[in-house]
Amino acid sequence: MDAIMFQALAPLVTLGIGIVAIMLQIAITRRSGLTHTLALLLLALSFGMVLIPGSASAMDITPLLVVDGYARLFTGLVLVAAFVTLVMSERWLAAEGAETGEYVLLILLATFGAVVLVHSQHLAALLLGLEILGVSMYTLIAYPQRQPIAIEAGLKYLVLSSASTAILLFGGALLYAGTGTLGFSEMGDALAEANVVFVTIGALMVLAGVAFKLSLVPFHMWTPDVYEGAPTPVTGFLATVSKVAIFAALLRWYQDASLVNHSLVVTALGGLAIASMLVGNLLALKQENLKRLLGYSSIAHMGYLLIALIVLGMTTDGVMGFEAAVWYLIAYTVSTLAAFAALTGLAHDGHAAATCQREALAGLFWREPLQALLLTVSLLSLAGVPLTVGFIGKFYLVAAGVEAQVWSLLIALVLGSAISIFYYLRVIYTLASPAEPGADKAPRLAAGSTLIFVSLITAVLFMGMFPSPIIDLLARLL
Amino acid sequence: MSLLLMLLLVGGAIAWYSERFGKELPAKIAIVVLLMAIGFFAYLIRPVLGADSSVSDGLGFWLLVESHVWIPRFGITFSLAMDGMSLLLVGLTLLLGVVAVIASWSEIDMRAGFFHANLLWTLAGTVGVFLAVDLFLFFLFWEVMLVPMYLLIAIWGHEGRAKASMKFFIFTQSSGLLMLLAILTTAVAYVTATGEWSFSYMDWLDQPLTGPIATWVFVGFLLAFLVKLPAFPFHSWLPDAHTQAPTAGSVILAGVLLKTGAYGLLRFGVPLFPDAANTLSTPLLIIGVVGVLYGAVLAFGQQDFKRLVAYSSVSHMGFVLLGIFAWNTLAWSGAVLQMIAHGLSTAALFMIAGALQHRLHTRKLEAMGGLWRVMPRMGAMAMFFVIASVGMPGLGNFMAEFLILAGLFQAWPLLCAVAAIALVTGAVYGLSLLQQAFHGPVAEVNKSLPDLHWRDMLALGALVIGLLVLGLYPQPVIDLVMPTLNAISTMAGS
Repeated sequence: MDAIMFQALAPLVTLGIGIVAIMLQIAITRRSGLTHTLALLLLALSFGMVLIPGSASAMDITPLLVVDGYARLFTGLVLVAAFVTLVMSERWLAAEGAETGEYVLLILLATFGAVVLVHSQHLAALLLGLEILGVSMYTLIAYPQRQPIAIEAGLKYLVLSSASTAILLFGGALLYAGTGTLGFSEMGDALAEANVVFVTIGALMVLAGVAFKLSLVPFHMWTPDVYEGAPTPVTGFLATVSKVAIFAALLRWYQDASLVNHSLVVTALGGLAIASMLVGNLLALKQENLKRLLGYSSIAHMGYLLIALIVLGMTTDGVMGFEAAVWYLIAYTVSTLAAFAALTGLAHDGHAAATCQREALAGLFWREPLQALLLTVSLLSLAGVPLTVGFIGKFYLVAAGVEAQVWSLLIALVLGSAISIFYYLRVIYTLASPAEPGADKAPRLAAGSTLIFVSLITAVLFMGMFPSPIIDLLARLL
Repeated sequence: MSLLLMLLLVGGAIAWYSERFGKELPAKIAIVVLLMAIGFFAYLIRPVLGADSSVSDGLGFWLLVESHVWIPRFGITFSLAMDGMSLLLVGLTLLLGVVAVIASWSEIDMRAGFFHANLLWTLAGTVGVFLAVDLFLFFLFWEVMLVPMYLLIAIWGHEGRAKASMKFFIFTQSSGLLMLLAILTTAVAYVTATGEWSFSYMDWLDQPLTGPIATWVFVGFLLAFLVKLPAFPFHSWLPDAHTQAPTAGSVILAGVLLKTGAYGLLRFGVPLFPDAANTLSTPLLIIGVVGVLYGAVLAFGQQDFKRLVAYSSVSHMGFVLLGIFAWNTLAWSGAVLQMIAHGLSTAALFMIAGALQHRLHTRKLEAMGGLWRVMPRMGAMAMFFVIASVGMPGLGNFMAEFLILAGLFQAWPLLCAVAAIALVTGAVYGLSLLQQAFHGPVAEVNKSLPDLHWRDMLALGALVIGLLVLGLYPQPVIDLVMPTLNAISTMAGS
């Protein structure tokens, strides 16, 4: 590794060194404020490294990792999401009286895993990233050790996630047996001439493992329970950082290994997509808890995203599919982050709304306009209403789908979106309904949270109204 | 023209903010903003009225055009254009905006600022729909105007508002998604044909879509427009939404929002996909006739003042559908007239319904009766608008329905005869409404109700004048839309 490689990998390296430094700091002196500030600084520093313009072409760092515009873009996105999560967590930690040090450390470690994932170009790297991310997540989900529901969620995620990783490993082994390599693009070359049925099963098993982490139907069973049981900021983290990083890795694997040539894989993806879009939205209809609702809706969103993946190789240049996937990931991350930031803002001692039950949010518009506005904007964005970033994402998806003429997927998308309007709107209706008597006012928000709220609202609306700067950025990076 | 939109949007924000300085301030600000908008609108169209400068400018039937680059990646522009048809509809929107604010002057006592903000934003969205000539922009306005309208119904609506507002949003939004699919299919076809992205209406006219795909795309557009219109099987959201909305909401909904569907059909549906539209015209005409009669019959059966007017809208908008698919300029001009006349008369009726509800706290016709003696001004106004809406000669609605039927007769004499029955049924439900509410004995509790305020009389008076002008001398209006209709006729190849 020479200096240029180190420079290219700077965000990852900074993050790694920083984590060790913070670990030492905690060992030397336990001060939660200091740890928190250091962690935020570290994320900001790492993000600064992402901004330093690197070489235009992709650079292989060992056979495991690759640094290119794509990896930089998603590193940036993951870091921003982690930053927002950490700022928002402060309130929850204070309300819960939980230990800050380890929590911050685990968030940073999970972020590290996610950054490894978006750089990976080798199944081994993918597995490494997945496990660093996953192991941190188990602990984070069960962080409130005295709450049975959190322990249950953590255990559920631990058992099912390990099982899915095992399946993924087995699939990787089959792929290795069939092609003699674990690198994505080498695998693509070898796949073209390998025993098709044998390796296709391997690819399907890897896909199943990843589908579990993305909570695609029928691998979605864990989602609502874990979403509900985990602390709200951790749920937000799981829904954004974890899913985005895994999807980014899946996208790279799917594209580099030219999996589009294997009709069985494409058919399986189509089935997963349609099932996720319909089942996710239908199950969300009956949810009274906002975290569960967002859990089911995220299943549907991952289903929408698969459309972009499927059309990736179908059109002549595949540009639209790729752009659509990236846009939708950005839109999904920003909107979901905004929704969970709003929910986290409600968490404080004895506040009824902290349970995230829908009725507890009645009249939030008149009690806490800023948080209600944030939640409304994020839900409208998830529903894909114009002027929000979610609409641009959906616009891209539909455009890519039309270009590739995958009509059955598009019909499922339209159906799913039509269903989803109902449950998103019901929440907005509740927010706008008259306040219940005796509903308590939350203590004033910290300046940091207010700033995050305002910037999230601005981001959702600005990117929805003026997508051109982002489109230009993507054109330069991808 | 973008300034006009900006004025309404910013005005809404100011009205919202002004809430904290006084209870009546938002309404006053809304009125001022709307009057400014009308003034600005008059200033905009001043040079184009009277002179036929447009033709010499090479704009065709367009009177004003405006375009800004927006999202170059997809060739999306912020393009607005106004022709005679959109001029009339924008004028109608602004006028009914004023009426809506006056109608809800004393009705809204909760969050008045936010109410007027939503009202102005809905109007901005509607004006945008009537002006947009970039299909992406059109879709954007189409969807965005729903959100404030939804909030108007959901927050300030009557007892059944939860269900009504939800139904309204889901119907329109899901049909809108199909339209998005249709728009993108056309755009992708355009890219395939020319190598460049464009969502511009004018570009699409130059590169018409052909083949079986055109029919499917047309159906996508059609469903969105039919839901909004609303046409017969897709109308079930309308009675609920109209009945549960606050007065201003009903006025805007019936007065202008329904017109966006008809406008969309005439502006985009027919010219962009003439063959598909022509093939489907028979079933659509039948849907229109069914809507006309079915709406009338249901209206007769209603015991709720607003519901009755709402079903009569289904009937009247069925006429618009008939006019559009009668496929000649005579019927089209009738359809445009009907949009305006129905907008004026129904807005007035909903305003009266709102005033009654405000005084009686019910919309049930049984609880009314003999109100003419108590409130003579309201009674006279109600009579004028009821007979206008049932098609009394000399008033706008008659002229419109006459033109539609005359146009329809040329192509479909039998269908025309069936549709003409509606003129009779219309009289039946109209007069029954009048009789039950304003004639007969007065209930004891209703004896001391206050009559209409002078503000209300002013607003209703403006609508009366509008209907009289349309009914007695409609030629200027027809002249205004004729260039557009002739152009559409050429494009449609009829």
